[in-house]
Amino acid sequence: MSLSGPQFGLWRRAFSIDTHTHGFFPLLGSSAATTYPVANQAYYVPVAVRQRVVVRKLWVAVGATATGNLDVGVYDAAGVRIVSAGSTAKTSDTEQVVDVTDTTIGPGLYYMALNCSNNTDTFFMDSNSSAPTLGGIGVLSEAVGSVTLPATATWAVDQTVTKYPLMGMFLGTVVS
Amino acid sequence: MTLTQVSGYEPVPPMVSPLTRGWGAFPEENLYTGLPASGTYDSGALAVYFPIWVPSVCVARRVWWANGATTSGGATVEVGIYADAGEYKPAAKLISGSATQGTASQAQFVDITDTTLTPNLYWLALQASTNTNTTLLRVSLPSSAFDAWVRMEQSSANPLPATATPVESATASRVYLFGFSTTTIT
Repeated sequence: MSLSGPQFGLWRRAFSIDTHTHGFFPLLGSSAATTYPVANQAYYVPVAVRQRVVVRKLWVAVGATATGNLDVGVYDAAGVRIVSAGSTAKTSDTEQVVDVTDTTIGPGLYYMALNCSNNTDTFFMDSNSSAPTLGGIGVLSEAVGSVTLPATATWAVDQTVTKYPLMGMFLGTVVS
Repeated sequence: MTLTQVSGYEPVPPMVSPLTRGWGAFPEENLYTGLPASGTYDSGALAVYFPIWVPSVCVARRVWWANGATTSGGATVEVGIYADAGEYKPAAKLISGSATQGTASQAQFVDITDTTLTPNLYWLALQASTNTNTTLLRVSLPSSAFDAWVRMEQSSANPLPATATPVESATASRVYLFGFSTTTIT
């Protein structure tokens, strides 16, 4: 085992990798609390993981309305679930943090995934984009039918979604 | 135990366009005015070229564009990838794909021969055979004064030429949402 040295530069200082800062699209509008688009439909947002990191916790920017459950996770580029929270009661905090099994990933392309059991709970999302802008930046979706994220995604380009969730992963010691 | 620096690799996005963070060669992203919106294409058979910087080896598997609210013109839309001429303008066409414009407000994909791109400057090209009832998603620059950074164009370019002979855009300031995909997810 070897441990990485100090990481310098903007990307290497990151303690959190999230869909806004590490996504591939710079032109998002401001986020506001808005209802989840479709109940039990998972959304997968591509993020760039530029170094080898340990994922310790996952977080979602959530709104006040909280009656259902959510699941948040990380998938690799092939659609394999790497780590997830499992079905979790949604809170009305402005940021919901979920502990997950410490998992080493990267560098590479990954997808942050979010699912919610209803379409009335609120999340902080950019909802200003016209379709198919988000499909054009690689946002995928899947009708899961339940809230728990699948072990393997059967995803497709989402041609209609206009809401871009704000979520991410908290990182720990870099191990190579 | 050894200490190592393991970062430096730039992950490959699933969808590459002139608006892709870090890949679109125009560095002043904040100068774009607003989010992509539907708008009529510039003019029929006009090719527009946008620079992209490819920092990591990737494979272009499909080309795509974002259809706007009106696609009833039945235009043939074509997207291509061009090598850089070494003087910040497009030269030889590497690959392209085209199709009749399809469903409004959807991203439309066309399969191409898988094309490996090594780190370098490339140009994404877009043309539509007609601009009548042909809309695509686009953003605007605040002034055509920025065109020299981000956009070149060529008239009578249907189909996209084997070798580009573009000029700097004189007045237009539109940047379209289109490009290539590194995945086969549809």
